[in-house]
Amino acid sequence: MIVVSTVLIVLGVLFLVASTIGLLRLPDLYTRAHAVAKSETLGLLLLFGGLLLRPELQIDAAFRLSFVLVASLILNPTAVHALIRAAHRSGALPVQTVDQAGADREIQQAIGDDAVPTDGASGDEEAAT
Amino acid sequence: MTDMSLFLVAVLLVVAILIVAGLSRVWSGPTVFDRLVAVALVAVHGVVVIVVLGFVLGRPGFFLDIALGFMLLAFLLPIALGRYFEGPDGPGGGR
Repeated sequence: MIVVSTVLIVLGVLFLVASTIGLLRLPDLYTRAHAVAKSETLGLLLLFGGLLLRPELQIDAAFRLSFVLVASLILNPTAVHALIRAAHRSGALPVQTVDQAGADREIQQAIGDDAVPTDGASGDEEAAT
Repeated sequence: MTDMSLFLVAVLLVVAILIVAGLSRVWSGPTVFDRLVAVALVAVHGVVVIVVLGFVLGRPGFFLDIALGFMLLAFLLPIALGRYFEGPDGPGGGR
């Protein structure tokens, strides 16, 4: 039992580490929220599940810990989802990984006029105001 | 201090380092919503720190009550601030 608990806690900490690396390294608000919402919740479930299996836990503390587990399972993705919905309604744009300027130039050459605006920094995040 | 308690102290140290790393995103996030997502992550890590600290100190029930209160407040914060910054005319400046 203690071996299973230790393995679950180590796995949970690994998922928390992956979530924080995703928050620091991913290029975009939406991808960062993806890392925080999913991987963080799985790490919490594994870590609290590992703590539930520890032998020194009394029955009332186990009840409270399972309540914390279920509440964090529900509340963490809900909070991040509400936050990202607010960001979407405020007009936050994702980083474009395709070459949008090149695609615009191809369209421009195909239709033969300059109706399509080509700013060279349309894939940049700071230009997406 | 037993071996299992040392293991939990190691977990505490790792999560504390993760809190500092998340706070760097709170400092450097380009938009206000990046900062709020990072605040949500730091709050979850704070709940983990409180629960594991209860196990290290030998009083998990007491610390789990604190973790419940902290968790409910910490998950209310991004929803409320997201509602505050929402909208193209909001205080988020359309970002």
